Formats: sequence, C-alpha cells, structure tokens
Amino acid sequence: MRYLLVFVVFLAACSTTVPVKRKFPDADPFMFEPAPTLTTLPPDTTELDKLISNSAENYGKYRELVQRLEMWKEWYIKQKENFDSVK
Amino acid sequence: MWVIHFLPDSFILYVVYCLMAVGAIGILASYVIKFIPFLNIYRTPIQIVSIILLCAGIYWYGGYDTEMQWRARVAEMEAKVKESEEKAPIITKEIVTKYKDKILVVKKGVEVIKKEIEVKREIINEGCKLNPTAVEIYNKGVTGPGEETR
Repeated sequence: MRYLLVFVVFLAACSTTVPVKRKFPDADPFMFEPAPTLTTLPPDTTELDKLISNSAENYGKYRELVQRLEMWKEWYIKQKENFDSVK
Repeated sequence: MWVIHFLPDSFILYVVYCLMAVGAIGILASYVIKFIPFLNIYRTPIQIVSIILLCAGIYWYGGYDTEMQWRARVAEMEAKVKESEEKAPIITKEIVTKYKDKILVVKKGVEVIKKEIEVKREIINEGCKLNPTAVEIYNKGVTGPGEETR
C-alpha cells in the first residue's frame, strides 16, 4: 500500500498553468509627486490684480493636476495593453 | 508527472526508448522461444511483461511529448514576458516625457497670464478695492469649507 501511494504521488499530474512569474511595471518617481496645493491670498489684500493673479495661478495648478491624472490614465491603459499582450 | 520536470530531456527519451525496445524485443523473443523446449515455459510471463513494458513505453512517450510541448510553451511565455517587461519602462518614459512637456506648457501659460495682469495692473485696480470679507470668502473657496486658511 505504501509503495502504491508513492507510485501514485510520482505519477500525479500537477498544475497545468504555465509557471512563469510576472513583474508589475514600476511607475516613474515623477508620477508620485504630490499634487500642487492651491495658494490663498493674504487677508490684508486690497488689490484686485492680486486676486486675479492668484486665481490664474490656482487654475494653472488645477490644469497641471488634470495633466497628471491624464498621465496616470494613459500609463495604466498602455501598461495594461502591454501586460495583456502576453498570452 | 511533476517528477519528470527535474529530469533532462535526453534522459527521459532514452528511458522511454529503452522501455519500448525491451518490450518489442521481449514480444518478438516470446515467439522465438516457443521453439526452444526448456525456455518455452517462460513464454507467457515474458510475453505479459513485454506487453506491459511496451504499453508503458508508449504511454510515457506520449507523456514525454506533452512534457516537451509544455516546456516549449513555458519558453515561449518567458520570451514574451521578457519582451513585455523590457517594453514597460520605455512606455513609462514616453508617457512621463510627454506629460512633463504638457505640464511645462501649463506653467508657462500661467506665467504669461501673470505678466499680462502685471502689465494691466493699473487698469484692473482702477476704482476697485477688495473688501477683507471678499478675501476671506475667496480663501475659503480655495481651501474648501471647514479648513484653515494657509
């Protein structure tokens, strides 16, 4: 019986999946840079140009963030495409 | 048949061929020894053992073939994975370069607008003075409600 068990273990077929390890791609450190923080006005500001300038700066930061989000989306889509091409 | 993963291809094939050869020779021999009187009594056992060996050899040859197909598949997959892994940093670099340029354009645009505001400062401020309450509300809008003004 003992020999039969050993025989069965040696003949047993194992997993049929291809034993190939895959590594998840690394993102660039630039992609991990924190989002730009919006700046506020000093409380004693009286000039309108300061407010408009501050708004323009903050809108710029928002647009930068949009670009960063688009970058992550494109990175994910293209890396997924590349990852899925292995079949 | 996981054990055969550890054995070299040539050794497996050698064993399989040996089994089939011994089986085939044994079957042929069993017909020949029919005519030799003192060996004739071993004919049936030799025939049975030979048939078993030949069957085992054929079965293992099939197994060997499957094993080789799997090894080829693994090699193919490894090559594809390697190619994909080599491509991944190139994709990342391309995307990062593209968006670094785009962000730079955004930053330059902001500078242009700020310069324009600076030039038209007098016109903008003409007859307009900000109230501290307006600034306070504006800052609340920037930081979000309930957050401290920085």
